[in-house]
Amino acid sequence: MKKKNDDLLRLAFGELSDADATVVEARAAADPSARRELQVCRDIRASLQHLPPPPADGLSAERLRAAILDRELGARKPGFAWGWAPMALAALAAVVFISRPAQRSEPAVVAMNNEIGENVFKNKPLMSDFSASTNAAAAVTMSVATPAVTSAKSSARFRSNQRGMEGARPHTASWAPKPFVKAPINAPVAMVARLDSFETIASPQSSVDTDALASKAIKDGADTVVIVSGKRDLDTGAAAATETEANHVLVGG
Amino acid sequence: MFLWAAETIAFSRAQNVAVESLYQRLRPSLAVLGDPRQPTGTAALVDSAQGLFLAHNDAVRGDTVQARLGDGSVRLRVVARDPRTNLVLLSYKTAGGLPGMTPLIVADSEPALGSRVMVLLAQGGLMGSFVGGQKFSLVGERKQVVPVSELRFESPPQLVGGALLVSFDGKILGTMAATLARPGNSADVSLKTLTEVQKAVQVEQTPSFGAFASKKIPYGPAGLTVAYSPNISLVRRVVEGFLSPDHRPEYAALGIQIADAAGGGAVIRRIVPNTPASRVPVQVGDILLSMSDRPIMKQYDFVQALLSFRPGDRITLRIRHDGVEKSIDVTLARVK
Repeated sequence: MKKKNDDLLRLAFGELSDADATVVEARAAADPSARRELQVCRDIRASLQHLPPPPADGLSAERLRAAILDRELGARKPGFAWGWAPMALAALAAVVFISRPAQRSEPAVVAMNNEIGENVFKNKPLMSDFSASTNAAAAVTMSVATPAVTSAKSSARFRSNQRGMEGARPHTASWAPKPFVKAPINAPVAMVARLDSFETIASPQSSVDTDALASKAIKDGADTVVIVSGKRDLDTGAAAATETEANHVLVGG
Repeated sequence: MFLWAAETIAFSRAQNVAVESLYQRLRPSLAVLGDPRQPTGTAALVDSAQGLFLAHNDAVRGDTVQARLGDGSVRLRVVARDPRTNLVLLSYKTAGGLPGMTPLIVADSEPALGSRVMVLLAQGGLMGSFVGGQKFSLVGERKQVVPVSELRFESPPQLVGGALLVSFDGKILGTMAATLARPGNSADVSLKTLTEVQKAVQVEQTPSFGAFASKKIPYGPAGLTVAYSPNISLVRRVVEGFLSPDHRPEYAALGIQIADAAGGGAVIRRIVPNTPASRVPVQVGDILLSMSDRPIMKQYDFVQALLSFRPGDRITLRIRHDGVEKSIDVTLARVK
């Protein structure tokens, strides 16, 4: 009986070979109960693939949250209550910046280490895109006015530039700058970059109103934000998450 | 009543058949990570020519990881990690790649509300439901914004953190990045330690119902778990970056902090110094209405809009300042 039902299920889910499928189909055609069961299986398969939207109160986040938080799903598991180089480079960058041409068709751009740039050229236009450099060095570039390019090209060129001095390639044949500083390996490096590339910044930090979180009340219908902690859920092993109302959070980006 | 029970049982069995069928179809594209006696997770092949696999960081402890590939045991090397999603790119260097293996592809869009999804565990598949998107999470010390989708599934007896998620047509959807924790049921503990403890707990159990009940390992409807996965837009961005020549995902940033504004839009609460936003005429208190052609009705729209752009993109901000709307062009920066 079990084998028969399994065959019908596998037939409905397309798991049988053509030969076996022919045999099972013939048997189902001759057996009304098998035919009904086959139809049920096919309906189930169809429902798996085309499930209708669930009722609003059946899968709402609020209901799910209540299901998780309001139930005591078992006891806790026991045992788990539980220099100089940057300054020199900054100075170098400053010299380049101060000696830049006065007239430009594009914003003045100087590629440099972001932290250095913040100290030396606060509120000035910056371009720094060398965060991936293995050398702990500022990257400085001469300023050259260039026409606007598409972001895709810019992105590809940016990646090329990131490979280092040898990886930097001109975007057009007419653009052929040369490194104005040649540095030994493992020493601070100055490199020429495209000036219409974009800058790299630290990720703008979001912040959470922890005082508002203390109440933990989430109003019905309010948008929620998931706060992922560094802790682990002891049941699932995944990062432990809590939810809070979106208006408790400032989103950085 | 009998018919209802019979159909319920048939439905349950059909689900098992469907999960098993899908898992077996995907199995040739998967590498089981970790010690075969205690696997840590699975990795999905995403580029057969280069032998590149996608996994979650939780399944990879160190810069290389032992893996079972077909009938052989190999070592995969970490090529890149994405701190937002904790996705990891692994490489198996072999001449000519892995032409016999079919790579999995990332889904184009989110599944429909209520769609079934499958969690890829080392031991097999686990069925879950896609509950919805339109939500974001804050991750890590810098509280980076990660748009997420929400899932639910019956809590299995094994750990599921970091498992890959696939749709029922076999496309990658995301990972089990986080689960909604019950109060007091989380701890600052490594997954390795947790695995060891869980293993010890399982060894302690006997087949008797009393012993099982005393452990109260949740399984079945009472063990409903809510999980969060990076949403499909983000997963696509990460995998695209992983498969680029430098294997690095790229994210764009403007340099502001925003909150939902009463009446729609997002109010700018802070402008970060030395960012694109600090160099254009926007002020704290201005309402951000749109970014190029993407309307901003709330914080989540801002998160999704940023994800749709790339570093270096020149976009137009529509701002309301003192009741007057204006447009401002700005070039987005790249986030480290």
